[in-house]
Amino acid sequence: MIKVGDRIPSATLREKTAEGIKPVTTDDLFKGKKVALFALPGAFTPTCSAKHVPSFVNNAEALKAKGVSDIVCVSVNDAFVMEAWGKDQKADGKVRMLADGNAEFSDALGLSFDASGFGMGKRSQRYAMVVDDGVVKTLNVEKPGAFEVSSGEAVLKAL
Amino acid sequence: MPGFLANHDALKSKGIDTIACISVNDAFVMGAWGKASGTGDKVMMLGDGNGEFTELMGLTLDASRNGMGKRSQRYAMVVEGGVIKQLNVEAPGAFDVSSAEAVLKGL
Repeated sequence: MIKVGDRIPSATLREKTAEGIKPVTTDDLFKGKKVALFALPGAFTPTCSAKHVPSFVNNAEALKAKGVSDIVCVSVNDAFVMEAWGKDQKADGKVRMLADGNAEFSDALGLSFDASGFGMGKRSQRYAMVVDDGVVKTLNVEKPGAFEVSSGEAVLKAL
Repeated sequence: MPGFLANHDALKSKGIDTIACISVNDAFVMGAWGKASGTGDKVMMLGDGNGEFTELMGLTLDASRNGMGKRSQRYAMVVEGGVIKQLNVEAPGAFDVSSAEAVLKGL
């Protein structure tokens, strides 16, 4: 699993924009910027919708005031689902909804898990991290089923 | 999807008991999509999140080039008492033979 001080490995995520679906490489995403990234098991799932995304949407301004230039949500869903979920969560302009549909990013970080027992295939563990110019500065991985250390508030406190 | 909603009554009048939509997404996504599409109780939205059903059918599609992992091909079928009566599998990217109208015509 990736740890504090490591450089984010190269992987490609996808983002649905007004011009269609665009690839977003980790190199482009993190280069020269401070990014707060959080990941979760699935779009439209209860904890993720009711708590995790709102905790970042509601703290978007406070995070940006602390020097975070991008707030990014990653899930092993496709870009169509992530866009629909972002609209549903009113995340527009506050949190970028990036799709890791092949689980390439989650695998590269060593943070994927087998959710096939829930009929969800391979998914991402729930975590949050702050990445400065491609290097992991903080990393908070939740225990299975928990939502404590990866909230927007927890990330804000550590900045 | 809109085709099956619009032809719901016609399909039922031809003896169809259940109209089901399957995708390699989880049940949360399928539920949200059903809500957004206004499926109500007209179309059952079923999640094949592990791709298990799709693999057993031999209708899996590698969509990883599009960042979508392993998915289902586009098709429609009519099943009666567990036996396939009609099966219309689309050519990649096409939407011709699997529409509600096509299914209706074949009944």
